[in-house]
Amino acid sequence: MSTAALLDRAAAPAPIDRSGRDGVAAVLPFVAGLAPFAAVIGATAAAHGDVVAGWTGSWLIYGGSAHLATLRTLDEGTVVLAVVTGLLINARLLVYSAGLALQWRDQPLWFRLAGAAMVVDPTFVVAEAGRARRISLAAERRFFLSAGLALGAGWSFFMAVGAIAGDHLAASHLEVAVPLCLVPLVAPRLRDAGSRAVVAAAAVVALATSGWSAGTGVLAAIAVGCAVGAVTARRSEARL
Amino acid sequence: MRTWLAVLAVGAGSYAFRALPMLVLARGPVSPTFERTVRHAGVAAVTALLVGSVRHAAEGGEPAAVLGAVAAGSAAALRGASALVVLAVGALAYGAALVVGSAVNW
Repeated sequence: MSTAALLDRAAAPAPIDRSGRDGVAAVLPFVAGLAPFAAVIGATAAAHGDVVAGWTGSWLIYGGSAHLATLRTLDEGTVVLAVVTGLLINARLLVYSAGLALQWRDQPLWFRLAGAAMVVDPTFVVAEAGRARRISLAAERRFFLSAGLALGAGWSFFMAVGAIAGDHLAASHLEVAVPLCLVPLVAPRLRDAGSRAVVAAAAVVALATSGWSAGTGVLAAIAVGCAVGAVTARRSEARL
Repeated sequence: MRTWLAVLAVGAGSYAFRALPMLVLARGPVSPTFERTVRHAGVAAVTALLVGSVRHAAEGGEPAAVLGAVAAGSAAALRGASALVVLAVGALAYGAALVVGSAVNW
């Protein structure tokens, strides 16, 4: 390398790593969209009596559906039933984590264990986006941890708002925000034929199993969706 | 006390679900069939959650307004709109459906 090139290189500013900021930006729409859902859970926790214990679940359970189902089941059933219900709903996290474990195989153990605590639907989607833009392993870590912490902070903040506002919130109208938050995760997949088959199969199974006990229908939909996806992928590979 | 017990137990179990694959799958090679299958888990799970949440919101309020909001949001998402825009479009459609619904009933 010539002296001029070396001088140019020394004078050039170091590339700015915006992975942390990008992680926060990627998850902000989810924070906004899930705010009403968090508020509904906060209001449920307040109505339940033990606000602090209910709110603590925002970080400990880190999953709205399981958290809400646990609190609601506590009202009607035993602690064991509430725990089983919450765990059944969160069993899908095993599958998310399996997918991310393959993506993070080169990452250090501390990150895989710390990141695991923040694996949930929005961060799973954001992590996939992070894979597409990955510059380095360190950048991927900053991206995911920033996204996970921002989501958790926003989630627990809006849950606290819901706990304070309580019955003043028009919860039945706010609940429409939850599907609207999930739509952007599913709709773009409809452009790809393979994913379309997975979406169709999972939707049919979810509808057919809507009467099943909490969480089991989601697991069945995941199982059928995965099977359809694997068959579709194998067929398209065979065609090539 | 019951709430604490339930929240702590679900929290611990949920972390185990999240952490176990990170420990187990990092150890050795994974078959292509497994990778192919797991790749679709995310979209299948989110689809199932979407269907469940639409049903739940419809049962708790105005079914026609909820379906209208989701249809409008889906149309926006298919056109490449961001999550915030999808939320805004869906909320507007929901509000409009409520106004029209109450006007018709009135």
